[in-house]
Amino acid sequence: MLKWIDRLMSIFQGQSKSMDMVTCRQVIDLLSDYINDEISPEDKRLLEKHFEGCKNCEAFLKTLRQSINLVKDIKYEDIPEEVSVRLRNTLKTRIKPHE
Amino acid sequence: MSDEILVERVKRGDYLAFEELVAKYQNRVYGLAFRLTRNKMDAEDALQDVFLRVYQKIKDFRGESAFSTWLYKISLNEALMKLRKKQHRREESIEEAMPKFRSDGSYAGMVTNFSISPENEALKAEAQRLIQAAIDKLPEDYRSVLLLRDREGFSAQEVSQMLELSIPAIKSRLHRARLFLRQALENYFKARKVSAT
Repeated sequence: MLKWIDRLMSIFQGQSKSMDMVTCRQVIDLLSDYINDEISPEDKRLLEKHFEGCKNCEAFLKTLRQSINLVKDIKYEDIPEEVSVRLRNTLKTRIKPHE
Repeated sequence: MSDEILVERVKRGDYLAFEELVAKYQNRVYGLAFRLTRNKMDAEDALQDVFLRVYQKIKDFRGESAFSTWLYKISLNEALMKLRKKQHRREESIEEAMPKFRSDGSYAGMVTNFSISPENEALKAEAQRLIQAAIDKLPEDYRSVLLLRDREGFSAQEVSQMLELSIPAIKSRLHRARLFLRQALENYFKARKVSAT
């Protein structure tokens, strides 16, 4: 969540004219929460307003989403049949005698 | 048959129920172990140790979390133990890949778009390869969180139980890991753009 002190700091530093403006740093800090939909409606509104006027952050969001989708699509190595057979045999040998 | 029923049967000594759990989860446990260790023998060793441990410890499993959460916790521990024994992996500093800002908080530089379109299969495959290479370079703590959240789809709460870390710590590691991967891809697309001009 954007802290009120961060917002005040940005105003004192002359980066924004109103409480409604946030910096790229603040936006990028919140991007994962935004993508995961774990963000307050107020912060969501602030970020979306920022995207409208900042091509860099808009592109950053798009490319971050693409990266996440590539992770989602990673194919795991399927267990080879011989590994599965060895697993069953090992478990039987090491577990059955104790039953 | 649900995991809950199978677990109860295993607790009562039903070996067939245990085999059913093994058959159901062996692929996922092996896949995760291989992704973490990047070594077939280590992944197989971890797989065997995971299910031996599950059988030995199942009486202690009280069902406070889902069986899969508990199983993944054991799987992570076993795979990471194998990994730590070797420590030959070249992990990169995550700090260098973090975005840079000017003193006024604005983004320093220009973001390069990724020209990955669904039609361009070759480029998508290349991006996939780059993502996997970048995951391998992530520090271990970040790699586990990223895979569990973004590949396996577990919630922050579930991952926090598996890794015994606070939810804010999970969120922070996930975000930084994602930024690291995005930067690896951006470096590639930036270089590609330069060489094309």
